[in-house]
Amino acid sequence: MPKSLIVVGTLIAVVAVVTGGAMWWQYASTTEMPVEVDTASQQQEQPPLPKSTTLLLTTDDSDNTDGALETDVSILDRELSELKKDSDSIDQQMSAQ
Amino acid sequence: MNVKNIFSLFLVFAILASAAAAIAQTNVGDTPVTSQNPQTSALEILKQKSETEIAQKLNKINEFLVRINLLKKISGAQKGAIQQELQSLAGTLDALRTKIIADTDLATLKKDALEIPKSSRIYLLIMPQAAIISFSDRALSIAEAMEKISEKLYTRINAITDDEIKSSAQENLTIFDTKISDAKTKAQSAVEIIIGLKPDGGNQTILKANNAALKSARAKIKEADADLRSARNAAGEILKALKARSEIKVQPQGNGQSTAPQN
Repeated sequence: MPKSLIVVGTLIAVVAVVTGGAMWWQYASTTEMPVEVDTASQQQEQPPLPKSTTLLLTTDDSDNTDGALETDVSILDRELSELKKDSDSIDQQMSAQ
Repeated sequence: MNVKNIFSLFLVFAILASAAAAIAQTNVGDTPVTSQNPQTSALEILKQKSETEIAQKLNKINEFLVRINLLKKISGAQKGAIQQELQSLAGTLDALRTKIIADTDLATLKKDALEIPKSSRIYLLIMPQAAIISFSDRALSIAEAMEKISEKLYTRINAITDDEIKSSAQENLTIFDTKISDAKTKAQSAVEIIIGLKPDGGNQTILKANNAALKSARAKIKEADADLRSARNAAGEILKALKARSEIKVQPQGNGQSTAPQN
């Protein structure tokens, strides 16, 4: 067996091992998906934001009849209902903390 | 071991290693990008995921920007501060989305995708801030409307001649006014608590302080909400008293007396 043949064979083996190892390392690192893109905010569908307030009482501020007062209070009820949605929205935002 | 055996071992090793390299090269490197290529597939999946997440965040930010622009009871400085934070975050996310769309290699894309959780840290602070400010603005608007109703109720109650009904209505009006005032104080306090908060930037101490502030503001908000509902209930009691009084009709009595509507 010529000595030069052994040297050439050894060189081929070393080069092939290094190349193969490098290739496998690159393949493994690119096919795995370690990046965690998702966050808590994406895990739950959030409802749309409540609309901005449009609170207006009866047109006449001095109208204090029973009818006007009842209308005013029913408007308050509607806005308090929207306020509940605002409150829920805060809970939604903070649950992602 | 003789020289021949050593050479044979090297040869087998070389063949195996070359095969490994050949297999690996079919998946990475200079091979053409096709939809079957695992790297391309991973690139597309990650790109789509990142884009979806950024789009969701941008939609939410834009919703809040519209809402905050319409706030009436929050000071211009406070509105401006939160708008600036939201716009800055939207700009960051938009630039990141543009970069991610343009990414052509997985390594760069992964690096860019990792920026999304970083922006999420800011998002998770700003969004509750915006929600608290929006709540406070509505609560203050409701309180202001209640104050107008209080004036109307005051006039009506003063005209009541039945002392018992009047006293009860006055008590409820006091509750009404007190709860309105408390709600306003708490709603304003909630805004003041959260308006100066800055993103933690990974600093655990700041993160804890921010979370504590948000929780404190949230507690104020809940109290303000409860106060407004108590005020509403008090107004309901006053209205009931006023209505009951006006419904007392003149009715013929056996002794010739009658009960007339009061006032």
